[in-house]
Amino acid sequence: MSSARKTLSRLEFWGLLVASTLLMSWYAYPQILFALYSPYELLRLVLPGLLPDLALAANSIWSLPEPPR
Amino acid sequence: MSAPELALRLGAWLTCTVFVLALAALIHRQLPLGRPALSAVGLILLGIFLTTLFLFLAGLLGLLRADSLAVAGLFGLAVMVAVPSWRKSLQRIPHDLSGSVIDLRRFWSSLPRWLRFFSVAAVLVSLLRFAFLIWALPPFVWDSLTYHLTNVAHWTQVGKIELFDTPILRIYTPANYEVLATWFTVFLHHDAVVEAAGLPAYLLALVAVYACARSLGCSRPASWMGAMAYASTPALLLATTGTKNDPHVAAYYLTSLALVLDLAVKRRSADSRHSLSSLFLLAVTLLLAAGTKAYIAHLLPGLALIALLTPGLRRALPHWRERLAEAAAAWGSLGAWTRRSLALLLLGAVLLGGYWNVRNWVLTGNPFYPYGVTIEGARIFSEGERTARLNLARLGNNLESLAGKFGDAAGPIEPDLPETTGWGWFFYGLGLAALVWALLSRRSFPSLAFGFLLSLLVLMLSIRPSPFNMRYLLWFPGVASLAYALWLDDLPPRPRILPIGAATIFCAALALNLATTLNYNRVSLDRFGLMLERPLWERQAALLKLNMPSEYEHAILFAPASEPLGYNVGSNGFIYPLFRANYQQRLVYVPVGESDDCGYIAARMRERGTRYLFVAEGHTPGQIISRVRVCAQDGSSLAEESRGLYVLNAGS
Repeated sequence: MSSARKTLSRLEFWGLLVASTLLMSWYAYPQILFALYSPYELLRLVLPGLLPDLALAANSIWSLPEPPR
Repeated sequence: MSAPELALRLGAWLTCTVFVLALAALIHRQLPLGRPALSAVGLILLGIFLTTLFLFLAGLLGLLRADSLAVAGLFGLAVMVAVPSWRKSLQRIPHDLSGSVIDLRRFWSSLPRWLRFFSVAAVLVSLLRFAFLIWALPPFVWDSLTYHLTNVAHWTQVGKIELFDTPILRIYTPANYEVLATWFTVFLHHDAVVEAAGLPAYLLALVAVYACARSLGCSRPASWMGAMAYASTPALLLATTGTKNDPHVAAYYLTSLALVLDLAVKRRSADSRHSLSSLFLLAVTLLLAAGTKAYIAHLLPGLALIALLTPGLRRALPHWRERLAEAAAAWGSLGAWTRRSLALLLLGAVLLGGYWNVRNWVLTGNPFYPYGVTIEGARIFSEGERTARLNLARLGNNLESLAGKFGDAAGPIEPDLPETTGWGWFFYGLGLAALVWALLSRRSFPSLAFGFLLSLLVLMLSIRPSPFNMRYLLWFPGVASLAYALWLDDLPPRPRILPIGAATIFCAALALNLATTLNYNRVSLDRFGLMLERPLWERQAALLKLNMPSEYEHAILFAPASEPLGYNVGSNGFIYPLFRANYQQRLVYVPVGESDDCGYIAARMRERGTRYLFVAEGHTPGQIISRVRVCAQDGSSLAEESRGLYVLNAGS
């Protein structure tokens, strides 16, 4: 493989990694809140009284339709 | 349940499991596939198929009870041991197992050290998560409580697969998944582990993605990472223990893809029996899927496109003709007994694939009952409470709806997938980027991607636009996982930061996917606590107040389990919780009209052999609840026992 081709190939993969990171950042709101909320609740269970209860704040973030369909 | 009874029930379950697995191993030996990954797919598929067939036949014969099944299992094992050629084949199972262990070792040693650690951690955490959710919570997903598990409960209770009088007409829909789910209830006569019914499909889907990646030429580590990425899809994880049939359809789609790719990629089989085995298992998979959910038919054009494009459009016809000729030659070379056994199995698959629709056709004149079918305005089948439409307007609406859900910005990913795709961190991060890369730089990939796209488009011609319809697309993230596997193999090892960066993003995406699904994004710690306070055998769907009106709890607490309980709910109401977790409660449907007088309602209850009538807000039509309340206030025929539960007055 020529050095130009190697460089292009590396650039391609760097580009893909950067694109993945950007896409995940785009996806992160609001999903990061939901992803971290359950482990946070587990942590609260393990360390009772140390961490505040965020249930009310969490419930106020979203409101989705309920079945029946 | 007493300890001796539990031991007997577990013994019956174990006997039947040994019988089904031994049978699967016997048949698997007759169907060589030539590649370890595909061979594993074949074995898991046969396990699911034979379990479903065994229970289905037992159910039709009215033998759906732990003791009867144990006798049937023992008899089957005795026959296998008595027939000399089968016994010989059984004796070779340890040898086959040691071969599998060698394959597994080869696979394991091919993984880099960090991936081995990550895989062990991921598998352990996943197993713990599955086990905890199955053990801690009763079923709670809407469709399960209306019709999937209602079938399971009725069949387990009466020991027979049959239709029954209920306003939930969706009990008529193809029910292979429900038959398999009965495997998890019939032996214990309890729903304690019914959520495990999705696990076989989950495992099948995982291995099928791995086999697909191997067929595409990916290395073992890349294929494994692709498979793990797919297995971490939140929508799939949530549905697996959500007692729904969609993970099964996804698994059958991906299994079909693995078999099609194997047949399409190979230039010439080393052993012509490989083609026969792949085609045989493909037929079994599609028939099993047809009897699970009708929308597999909408996914077939995509699979057909992949089958055509993968060997090259011009070469497709001779290629497939060659594969068929190989299969025919292999069929001719089989012994008479093997041919008869395989033909019998295929007949079993035809039975599982067609029984439900043929039954509906005979009973109602519409094979797709309760769905009427309309294609571009023309009514094909009119009988039914709902209509399945196939038209371009629907495609437009569904694509618009998908665009709205893309990115999961509307809210948390829950089992019903309200306004979300549920495809998760991996798909929207590495998956999308790898998809674009593979489309642009891998010549073989576009045919695969177009196949997935065609399946998606044809499906969207027909599914009802709704906030909850992404459950039909659990198979779709598979394409991004395969693209990612291809990309991994092209990743340059230098500079080191590249593979390290890729591995870090991969691990982060999978960890976030798993974190998203720990509690279904729906069940608070308090709810878990309330359930865990009860012994396992007393955890009832009716008591888990996520989407459950309090009337259901009252029915469990105040209606006597020894008497039939009358109920009235609408066509989308919950019935399952009323059966109770141990299926002791007999139920009878009591039809009530808005204008029925109190005397008539009481007469209806007596005619159906019940003193009790259950109604619930949100599940029974409001006018009927009002009518029953008026009757209770009037006091002449009914009295209110507790909220939602009415009892006939002694003198009425």
